[in-house]
Amino acid sequence: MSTSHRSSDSTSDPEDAWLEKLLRRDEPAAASAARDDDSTAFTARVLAALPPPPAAVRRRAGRQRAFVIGGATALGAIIAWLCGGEAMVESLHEVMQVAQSAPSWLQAAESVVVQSLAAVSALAMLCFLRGRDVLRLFRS
Amino acid sequence: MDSDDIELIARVLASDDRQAFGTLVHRHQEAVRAFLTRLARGDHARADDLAQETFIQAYRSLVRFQGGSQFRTWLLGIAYNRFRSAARRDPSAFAAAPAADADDAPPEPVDTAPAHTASSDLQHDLAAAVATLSPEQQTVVHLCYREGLSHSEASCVLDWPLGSVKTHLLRAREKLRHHLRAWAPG
Repeated sequence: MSTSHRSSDSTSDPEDAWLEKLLRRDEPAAASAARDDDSTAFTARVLAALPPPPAAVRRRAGRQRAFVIGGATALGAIIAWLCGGEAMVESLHEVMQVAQSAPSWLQAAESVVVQSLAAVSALAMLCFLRGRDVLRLFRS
Repeated sequence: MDSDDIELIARVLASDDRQAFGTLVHRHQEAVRAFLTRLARGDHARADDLAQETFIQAYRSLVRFQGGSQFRTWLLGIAYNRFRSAARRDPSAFAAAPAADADDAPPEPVDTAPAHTASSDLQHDLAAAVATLSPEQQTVVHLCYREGLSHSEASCVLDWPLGSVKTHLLRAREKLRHHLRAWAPG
């Protein structure tokens, strides 16, 4: 047989060495050759019957979630940036004009708000692309 | 544990490498199928079905394999559990084959062995001697002699107490020694 026998505590009795030898006897080579074909067929049968891998299923589900959530967030963020962000920038400019005494921190706040919206949009788009598995094209 | 097995298992877990799993199946299928064929009393078709279920379950549970034992031992443990489940579901399918029980009339031991080189004679005598063992004894003999497992490994595979494994093996050896004494040297 193909498996190698390592030392075992089942054969500690030296009187049983001949018995062990009989029971562990090698099978004829012809039988082994025939078994090789059989084992190849059996391996193919097992591989064909394997279920979808759990890890792949999780990855696929994760991609689908990322696709939905990322897409929706990207859309929302872009709309917010185009509409709300613009309005916010305008209102900030108005405030800046009113509050001339503190232009520096208001300018900084304006910049932070706009950049945050841009970053959220970019992240959401990244999730969307990952959900579409587009990034794999660039990796491969 | 075989380092090749570890590497193959790592590849399956890391990237769902089915070719690596196929190599594992190819490497260990003989042991699993032989064990199940023994348990199924020579029913190769049923044994192969159970072996397939065994490997599929192993594939699903591979992430839980800790590497504390030989991969083959772990597989044989799954195979034995699959067999027990199948035998519980359909006891008639795994009913005792017409092999002689230990207390039935055993085959006469061969008094003379004019052709010790005749492997067919030896195989016949071996099969007859093993058939005199109880199913439990046959199972333990298969694992400890044919698969080369230690007592503790056989105990893990079968989920039996270590003492039970040793007792079954001791009694099996006594019977086999008696029935195969013609093949003993000297």
